Amino acid sequence: MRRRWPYPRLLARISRIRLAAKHLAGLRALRRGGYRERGNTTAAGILATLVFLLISAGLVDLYNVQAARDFAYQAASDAALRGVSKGRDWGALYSGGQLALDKSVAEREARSGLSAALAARGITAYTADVRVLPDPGGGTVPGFPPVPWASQKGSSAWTATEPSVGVYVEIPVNVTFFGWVDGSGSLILHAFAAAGVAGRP
Amino acid sequence: MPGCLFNRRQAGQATVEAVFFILFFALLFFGSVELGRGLALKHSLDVGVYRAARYLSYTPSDVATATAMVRSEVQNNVLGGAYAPGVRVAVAMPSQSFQSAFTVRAEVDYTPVIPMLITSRRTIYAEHSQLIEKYP
Repeated sequence: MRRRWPYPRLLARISRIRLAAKHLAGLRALRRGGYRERGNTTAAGILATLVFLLISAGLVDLYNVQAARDFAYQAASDAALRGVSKGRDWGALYSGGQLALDKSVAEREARSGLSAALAARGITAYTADVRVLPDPGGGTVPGFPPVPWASQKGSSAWTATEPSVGVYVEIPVNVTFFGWVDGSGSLILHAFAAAGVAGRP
Repeated sequence: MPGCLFNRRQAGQATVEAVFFILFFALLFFGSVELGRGLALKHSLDVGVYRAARYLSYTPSDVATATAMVRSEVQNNVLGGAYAPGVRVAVAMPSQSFQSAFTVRAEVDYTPVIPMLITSRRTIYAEHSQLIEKYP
């Protein structure tokens, strides 16, 4: 006669014993005054602290990038103003009666103003592109600034209706949080500003 | 055994532990807020000095209005303008002749207020250099 396999019944008995032991342990813990909770909040706190540190690092980075961005736009703006101010072509004004720019002087002055402003902040590794529209009617420079968001207008063609100087600058900004994310440790900021010169009617 | 050192009731344990972390979180939180305030102050100084420099490039002799422009910008700063009266404005203008360079600098003392932390006073400044455009 074939005998039945005894193990399923044995396993069922063992699991019943385990359940009973667990129940007894729970009763003992309750009698002592509850389960032990010491250290629970510490563990949760350490995790929350890590999360909060990441958020704080992100905030510091955002503040840092925002401050650098303001500086970059204002440095570009000051440089463009310097370019149009110093680069006026007085000969063209006296001979033709119209305001125009001396291209080489305007570009040189804009570049020197930009490098002085960046050097004052300790930035030496930067990329700059200065374009001049010297004619009285201005003009268009396609593909400038080279990134559409640098001009804050979403376009990548610079158009002016008067003699103008456009200054595009890229500066690196050291970051903490984003450095942890992508391992680079710095972001590149793009800024563009333009200034024009016009006669008062 | 009930009542012995390691078997006492642990109700409130989590609260005590949470208090330690709340102290730490408060430092981080208020530090971030104060950093934001400092940045807003710096930004408003920057904008104010830029506007003042543009104004002075056409009206070189009116330093009082330029100073008021900087203070007004700080006063209207989104995170509080309490620092406006303490803004110091200096204009370095060697000459008022056409196309001569000048510099406007504004600075203000800023002390971050962070609970449980003694913070040192810092001077926030902004500076812009431009050219006189008034002709002749």
